[in-house]
Amino acid sequence: MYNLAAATTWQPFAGPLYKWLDNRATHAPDSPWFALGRFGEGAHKTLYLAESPRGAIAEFLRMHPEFLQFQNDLNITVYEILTAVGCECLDVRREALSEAIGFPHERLASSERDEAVRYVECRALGAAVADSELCGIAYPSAGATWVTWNLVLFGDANQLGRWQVVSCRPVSRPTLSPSGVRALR
Amino acid sequence: MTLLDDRGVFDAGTGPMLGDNPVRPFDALPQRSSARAAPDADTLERARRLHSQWGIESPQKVALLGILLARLAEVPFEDAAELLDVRPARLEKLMHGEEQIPSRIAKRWMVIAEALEDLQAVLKPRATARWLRTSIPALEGRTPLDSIKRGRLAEVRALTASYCDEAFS
Repeated sequence: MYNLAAATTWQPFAGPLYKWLDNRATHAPDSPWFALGRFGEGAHKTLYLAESPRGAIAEFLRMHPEFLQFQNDLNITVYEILTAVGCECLDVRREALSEAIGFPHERLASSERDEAVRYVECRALGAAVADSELCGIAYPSAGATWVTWNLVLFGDANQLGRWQVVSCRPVSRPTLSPSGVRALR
Repeated sequence: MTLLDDRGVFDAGTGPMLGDNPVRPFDALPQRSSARAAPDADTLERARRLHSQWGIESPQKVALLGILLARLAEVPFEDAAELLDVRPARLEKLMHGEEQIPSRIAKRWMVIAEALEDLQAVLKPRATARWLRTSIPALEGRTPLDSIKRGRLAEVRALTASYCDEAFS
């Protein structure tokens, strides 16, 4: 469906990335799961990470904009996850890169109300990448109104030649203004 | 006479525990059952009446009410009653065990308890009252309290279930 042979890949990477997690969660912040999200419909494990703490919170507030006014009372923590990615990831952070594989760039930030419609192209791309030698997708954030990116990693950590988590620690949670969030509804 | 002696709870073998004869052997310890008073007929009748009135599920229902009240501790009492779909006066009676909790209400309360648990996983309990009266896009602009009053509890439950979903959108 999409021409991954024409893809630009991201070189192996090691650095801090960020995600949020509720304070009552009983799993580690860096554990991938069969989540229903932009690039997965439960068939493969994913771990979504943001370029910055602000980007991670923008993703939470995009889904639940009612919490914009509750930011002092949120019971969630932002974690800094030092990730070492030893394999190549698909890079579609710029329009030219997504067009090279035949993927409509605007669909990386689709916002339809119905999830099945909103994610249809991204989930097809996610399934193709999960079945390939690539281990993730770097893509522009749909939740932030400034230019930033997310990385979704597929499969389990610590697999030979793929990706691993070096460390994971909580960091202070930023506060965003409503103008910083592209709310979903 | 000690207070325990006076109440007839322990017999004379209580001595070692009270310290008046520390060398007394353990096998002389009292048999407390010998001093236990049999319940009177009124007590037994009241217990039978309560059991038949409340049924065998009552401990679970009472525990459920306790969980809800704990989660709603910082919500105005009138709002809590509205959320639980009972009048404040009746909620007080339910809290004090003066009235039975109907199964119909208990089923609804279970869903509300689950919704509050998910909510408070991402929001501090002190903000629950304000959240209940906040307009929410996913509820078509209604507040959770209003949605629940209109019989849309399932929508509120689905919303709160999504709160802990950490996948990006």
